[in-house]
Amino acid sequence: MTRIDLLARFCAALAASDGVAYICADRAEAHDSVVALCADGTVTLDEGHPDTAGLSDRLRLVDDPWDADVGVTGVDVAVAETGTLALSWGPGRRRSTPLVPPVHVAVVPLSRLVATYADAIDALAALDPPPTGAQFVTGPSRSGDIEMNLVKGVHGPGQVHVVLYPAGEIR
Amino acid sequence: MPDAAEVPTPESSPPTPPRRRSTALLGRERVVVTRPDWAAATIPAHRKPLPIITRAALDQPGTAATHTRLSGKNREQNDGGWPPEIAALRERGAEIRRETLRDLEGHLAALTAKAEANGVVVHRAATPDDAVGIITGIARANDVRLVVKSKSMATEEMHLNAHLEENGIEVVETDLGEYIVQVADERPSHIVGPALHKSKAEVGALFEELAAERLPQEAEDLAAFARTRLRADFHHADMGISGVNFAAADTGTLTLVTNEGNADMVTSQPRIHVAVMPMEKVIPRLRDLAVLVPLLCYAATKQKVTVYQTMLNGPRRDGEPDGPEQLHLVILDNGRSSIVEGRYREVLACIRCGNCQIACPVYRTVGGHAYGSVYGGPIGAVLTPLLANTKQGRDLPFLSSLCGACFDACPVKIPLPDMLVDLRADYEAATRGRPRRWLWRLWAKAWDSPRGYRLTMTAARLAGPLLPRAVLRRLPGPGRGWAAGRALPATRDAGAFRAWFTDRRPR
Repeated sequence: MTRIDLLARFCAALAASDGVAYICADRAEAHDSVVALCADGTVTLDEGHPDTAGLSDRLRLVDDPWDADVGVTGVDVAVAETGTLALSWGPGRRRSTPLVPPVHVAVVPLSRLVATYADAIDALAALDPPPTGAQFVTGPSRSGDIEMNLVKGVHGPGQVHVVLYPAGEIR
Repeated sequence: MPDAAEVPTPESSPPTPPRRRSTALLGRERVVVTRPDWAAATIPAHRKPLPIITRAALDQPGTAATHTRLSGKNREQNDGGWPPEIAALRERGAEIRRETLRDLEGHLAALTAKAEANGVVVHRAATPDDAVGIITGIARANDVRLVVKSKSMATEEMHLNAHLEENGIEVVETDLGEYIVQVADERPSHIVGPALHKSKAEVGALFEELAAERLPQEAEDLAAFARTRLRADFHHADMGISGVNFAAADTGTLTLVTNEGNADMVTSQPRIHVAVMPMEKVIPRLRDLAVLVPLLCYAATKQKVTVYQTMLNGPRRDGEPDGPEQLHLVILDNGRSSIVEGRYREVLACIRCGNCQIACPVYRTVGGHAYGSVYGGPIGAVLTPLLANTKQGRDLPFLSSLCGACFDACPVKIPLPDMLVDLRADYEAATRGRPRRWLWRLWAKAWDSPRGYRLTMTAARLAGPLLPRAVLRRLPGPGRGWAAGRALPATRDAGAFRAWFTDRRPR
């Protein structure tokens, strides 16, 4: 499967889970889009991720994720089959960033797309040393606990935006 | 409960730190508890006989509406059977779970070694009381006052919340459905949808009592009310308690599968995290998640995957900006090490999707609380009598029509209908006295021959008018309780079908 096929499948799966995908021409445009999505809001940024490098000067950063309007992260891999983002934790990649603020924005170069959910589990298992943990997230938080009505943004973010861009050649 | 912050402290003693109290449960004392005792969070030690409870459950307002909702969910969930790609996962999932059970202790030993190497403190609890002791011990040692909790059926087995509250520790359920039933002082009526038995209007009324003000009543509004209150508790709690969906023996990874994100909050924000799992939650390999997570999600909610899978290896390391300082894993036995040795071993293959409950016509009709046990529905009717701390509930296997829908609905192919039949036989063997056995034998002998059969029919027809219709209500003593949910057969017409058939038979 080509990168473009993976991208198309990822966008469809993410949309089915109520997430929003943005396809950018390159890394610079992707970062512009992240800045635009954060508007004037306060931001926590996972500065320990290579894909977010260079963003910190352009955002209104706050230390405490509980004070942030938006959490901006990179991902380990993104799953085309399900629209899932896999985020492992470590220095500069905190548990709270994609969780506590009401909006999550993820930056994803196409090189990080994998075909299946099983591929994402493999990618997690292959990390050496293993991280203290990881979050797999597919779209915004939801609940069906009140009469099975679908409600979005119950505890986790109510919006998930994924900004995608090609890194290197596209086949 | 006395509030430490309000007690004046003498000059000499060290200043009392401001007590951390739950925001989510503010106003809880205003809620008027209306549920019957058999729906209570803590199950009464001597519950009424099943026929009484099920009769009362049918008369509860709301039972019919719940039946309609559950039937809709059942059609959505189970009509058309398993699609081919999920059917393939089902075969593999069933095998992985049985592989686990063939060497449960071996897998638990591997899990323990790996988790400890990852910095997790592993505790084994033989009984629910042991588990309560371990968890309250951790809380006390760390001066814990406020606990946020994400869904865990294992903690229901030990009535953990009540025990923590007795120790002066506030506990807040954070799954929206669990929060609803906690405020109503009920227990979950379904494994995955704890408040499936509540209508939107009931939830609205409950939250208005809690808030002591009018609230907008759309599902979004009610969820937003809970979100705001629970966020304060996520931020300030000292300890998080969660369940575990799968624990991988090869890496020590604990996986939680949720849609709301509360498990992520509970396991990442407080300084201590305690994960509680019954021993069968172990799986051989992390890779097995690729089969079991999509299988669980499809069986529970028909999603490809839920919104969140939280995978935990250990507490935060040096250099990490957040996460708990301590991670404890409590592994509960409560009779499971005996179950795994016996002929009901496969019941421990269960991955707690709740689909057998949705598929069960009896469950849909009487509701989950009417089982009078932590686990309701077919899985509850099998598991409850086998668990060690269940003195009551041995009669639960009779709360089934044996239609077989639970087997078809089970993602790991547990032969629940066969087990229900075998457990009924066990129950009979264990409980029936000599006179009863003698009566069954006599009945069997009588109906062995056409002549005996006709004789009993005639006797029943003649005896019918002699028995007053209210005879069951006039039984003395314990017999009256037994009879309250039952009706006498219409013996006045005994044999009428045979007579009708004989009349019409072509001669």
